[in-house]
Amino acid sequence: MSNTGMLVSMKPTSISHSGTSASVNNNGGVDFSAVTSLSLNGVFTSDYDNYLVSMNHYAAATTAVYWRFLLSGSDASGSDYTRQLLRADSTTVAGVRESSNTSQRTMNSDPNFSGCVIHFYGPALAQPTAHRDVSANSLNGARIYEYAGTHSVSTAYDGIRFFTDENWTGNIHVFGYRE
Amino acid sequence: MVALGSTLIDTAKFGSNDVTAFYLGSNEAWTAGEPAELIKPTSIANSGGSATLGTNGQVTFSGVTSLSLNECFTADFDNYVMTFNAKASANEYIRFRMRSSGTDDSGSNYTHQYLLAGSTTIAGARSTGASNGTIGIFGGNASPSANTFYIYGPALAQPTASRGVSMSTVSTIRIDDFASTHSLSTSYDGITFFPDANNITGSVAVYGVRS
Repeated sequence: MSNTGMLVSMKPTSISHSGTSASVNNNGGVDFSAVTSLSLNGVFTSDYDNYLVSMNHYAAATTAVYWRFLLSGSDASGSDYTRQLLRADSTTVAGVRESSNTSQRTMNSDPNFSGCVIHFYGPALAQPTAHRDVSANSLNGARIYEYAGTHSVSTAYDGIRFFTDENWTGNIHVFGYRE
Repeated sequence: MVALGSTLIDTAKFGSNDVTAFYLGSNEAWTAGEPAELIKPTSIANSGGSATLGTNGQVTFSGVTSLSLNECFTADFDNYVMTFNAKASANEYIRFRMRSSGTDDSGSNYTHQYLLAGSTTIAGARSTGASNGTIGIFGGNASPSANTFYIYGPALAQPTASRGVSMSTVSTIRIDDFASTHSLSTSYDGITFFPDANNITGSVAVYGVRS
């Protein structure tokens, strides 16, 4: 086995949570149960420019799932996030752009099982960051509910915090794209 | 890659076997596999045409009306990515069913949401109580369609979610994307793909993504 695989597991240097439990598993991912906040520290480093976050989850009740970049454990909570939503929900296909947000969003979570991947481009580079998520959302049976987004501050971030309005359970694993 | 403290070891073998995990004491293990791995089904089955399981796990198929991949989902991975490069004998929806021990689940347990973008047309539709999910539409065109199919938790004893992201050669080029869910809390070890009609030719590979 050589170091030629596409992905590298970015095992958090530490995590913190609000709620019932969260732990780093032996693969480097994070298993969490009934949390309302989950911080992954040290997952973005100068070793890699771009990242893939794979996650599956469900919630006690339907909730938005927000996230912010972290630097040394502190949220980037300025009004620096812009996002574009693409939604396909039965026969409704719609989009909306939201600017100057203090956090970013990924698809909602609900009591059924959902999954998504988020591609991050340059979070640990001292430049603005872009992302795109691709979701399999179980809300209303099945729907497509996904975002492209930017964060305008030219700062190198080392972590990410997810937070919700309802108890949230699942797994998140951050991977670096090998360069 | 194996991590022992701050030391990374690229290759670890006992005899001729790759080490899958190191255990030190009784309560800690370091996995040795790549974060994402190409998975080789233990076997495949097809109706119509022909299908071949490659040495490393890629499956190539020609003129098939259904293709089953057995034991491609295991307890080693929660989430999977499949890549398709394929075409149909005529424009066709490509469906899937979860599979366990060689038997497809054809119950009315699937919901799928469609998103179409073709030229200036954007549209959506949802089907509930369906007997299959959908990954996309393959064009009946000389150029193959491409689809990346993300599937979350098929081997977990809980409902399954999936998302097909496509480049469809229907009408030259289109986006024919689907999100699907399967409502049963059953652990599945395989999957069957099939067109509504006609037949398909191309390749598929399954990758496991570690949780």
